[in-house]
Amino acid sequence: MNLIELRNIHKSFEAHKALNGVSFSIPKGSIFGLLGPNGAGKTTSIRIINQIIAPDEGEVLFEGRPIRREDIQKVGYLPEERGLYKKMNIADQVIYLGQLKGLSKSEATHRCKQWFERFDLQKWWNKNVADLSKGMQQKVQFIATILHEPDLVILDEPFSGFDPVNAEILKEEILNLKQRGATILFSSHRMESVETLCDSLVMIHQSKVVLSGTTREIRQAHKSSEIELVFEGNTPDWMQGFSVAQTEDGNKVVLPMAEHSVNEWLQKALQSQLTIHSCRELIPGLNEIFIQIVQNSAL
Amino acid sequence: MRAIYLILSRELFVRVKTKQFWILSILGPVLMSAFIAVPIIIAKMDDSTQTIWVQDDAQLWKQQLPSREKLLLIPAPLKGQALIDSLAQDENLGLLTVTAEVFGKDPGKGLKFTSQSPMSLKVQDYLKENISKTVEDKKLEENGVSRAKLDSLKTPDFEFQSVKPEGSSQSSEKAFGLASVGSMLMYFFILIYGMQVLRGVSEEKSNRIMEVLISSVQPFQLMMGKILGIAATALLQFLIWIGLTMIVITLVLPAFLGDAAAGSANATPQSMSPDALSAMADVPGFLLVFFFYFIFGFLTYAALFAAIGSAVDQEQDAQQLTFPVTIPIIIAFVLAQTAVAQPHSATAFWSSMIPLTAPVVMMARFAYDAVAPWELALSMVTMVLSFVFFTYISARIYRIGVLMYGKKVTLKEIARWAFKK
Repeated sequence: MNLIELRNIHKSFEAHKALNGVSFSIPKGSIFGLLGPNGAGKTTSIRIINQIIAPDEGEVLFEGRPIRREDIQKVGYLPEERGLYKKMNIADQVIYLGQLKGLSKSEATHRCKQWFERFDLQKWWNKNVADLSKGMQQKVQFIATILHEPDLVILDEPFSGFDPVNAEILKEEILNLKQRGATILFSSHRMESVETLCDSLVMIHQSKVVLSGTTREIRQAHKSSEIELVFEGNTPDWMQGFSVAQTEDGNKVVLPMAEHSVNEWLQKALQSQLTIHSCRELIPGLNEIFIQIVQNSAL
Repeated sequence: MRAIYLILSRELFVRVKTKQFWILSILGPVLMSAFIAVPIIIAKMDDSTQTIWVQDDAQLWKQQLPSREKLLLIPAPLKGQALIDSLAQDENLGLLTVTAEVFGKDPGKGLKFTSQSPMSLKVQDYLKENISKTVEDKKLEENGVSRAKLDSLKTPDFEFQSVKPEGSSQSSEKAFGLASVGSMLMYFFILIYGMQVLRGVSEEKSNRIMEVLISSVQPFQLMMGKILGIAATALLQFLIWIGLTMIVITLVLPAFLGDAAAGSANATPQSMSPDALSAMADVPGFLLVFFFYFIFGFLTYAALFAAIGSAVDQEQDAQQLTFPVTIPIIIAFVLAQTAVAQPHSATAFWSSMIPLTAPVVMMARFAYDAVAPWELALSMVTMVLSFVFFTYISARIYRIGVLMYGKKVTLKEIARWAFKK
């Protein structure tokens, strides 16, 4: 079952074509990555899902039927450009934003208290945004995004501005949301930041979908069938044809799996009395896959 | 509706919680009352008695010198160097020398005042009047005419009375006060609070909270909520002003000033006299009309200000674009001055029919009872229509403007947004 489905969406701004026949579906309860470089059309896609703008062509389905205005209350949105009122205390803001999403005042207040405790923000309850560190502001904004327990959580570049400790807390919370049954849409131009989290993804480049599928499928489909061996000892004769690089970890060599299997290569190495530090199959990251695709499409 | 209500209350409460709101709420009435009170208070506080020695060589005053409260005139008790020494020592002492030239063509040549500090304007006025009267009396006597005879021959001072056809009359001084205060307040509130709408919208944009808001509510709801919230703030402030001014004028001032207020009434500016202000209480109809024009005038202008605010990234970029919106209201203020002078003129009539100038001008005309019921009705209808029209246009601009970043927008582009499909 798909929570959201975009079908053949077209959208132009004046002469610029922002989306050119984009289609993708977000399975319910999954973490979904919307990837692509700046200007590819990610924000436009998100705005269409948020019903901030309407597509010129194509349709958006929510739980299998055309999306309706009131579905907006089931969506939580953390935009890339974070923003809160500077001169309003943070608890009031979070409660206000929750109310705009349909919560009653008492319910919003209750949940806000719980979240503030969870993120250790209680003593900041009455402070203004200007008094908070950037990391705390991010937390407040995150709370405002999910206070109404949306079915769909849209996070645009969620990790930018978080230090490693807080990024880890955020990651945990995202996984919690997933466990609770929420669907999460991640948008990022930094592919590697989300690849470990995403169940499936779509990659947009120049207003078109260039790649889609589950993260595992995509990486398997793009693996180069090579292994990387790190070892110590004299380079044996049979390695003559391969380039051996000397690194801090030891000597590094890339061997093609077309000739021998991993086991056979290892056997050879052991016979040559090499000390083996590591051996792994080379599976490209999303970044490399993306660059590969862009280069191929440019040819 | 719930969304608009939520946004409205936020706008109202955030503003009411600020210090500026209360400073302005209290300062307004205080400044207004001060206009009235300060001259009186100054007059009252100045209670030192000034002494003037008079050397009356012209025999102007036959018997008694014209002393009065706080001003003592006595014949100069000293002469020569001793006199000069005394004048140099005492700041409050002056010497008035009167010579026969005071009866000539230029009486000033016969009057000399010697003192360390110049004579105060009030004392000058008093002595001038007294001297010219005394000189007149003397000349009348020489010509065998008595003062009483002259007075009986003169036409007394008079004032015009404006009379409505039905027969009731209204003092035109009261109407003048009401017209000036009404149109000035209208101008002031629309401009100040209109700018607040602009600031509020561009603040949400530069804060980047806009994106979150319009993913929760429709842009139109956001715009209307903000405009209505700020209108509510303005109305609240206005009510506080009326309340406080009433309290100050009816309770505080009389208690504070006592009978001095009556004595120095002619020192207060005409338009601000307590009489004119208390006239506001006499005319609940005026207040009703004021509220109507304020609400619809404000909503019309606020929609335009919101549209401008949505088109810019930063408030600073807005200045050029606000010009076309502030010009009509400034013109309205100028036209209102004409309407005060000639409430029945064609200029006054037409400018009270055109919705962008009507709120300010109508205050001036209405105060003079110069508006026929059909005129008022027609003007009110155009106000409501203009509110609908400008809100519609502005909402279209707003909806596009709030998503535009990083581009300096021209008026031409804004106009195109308004009529785009």
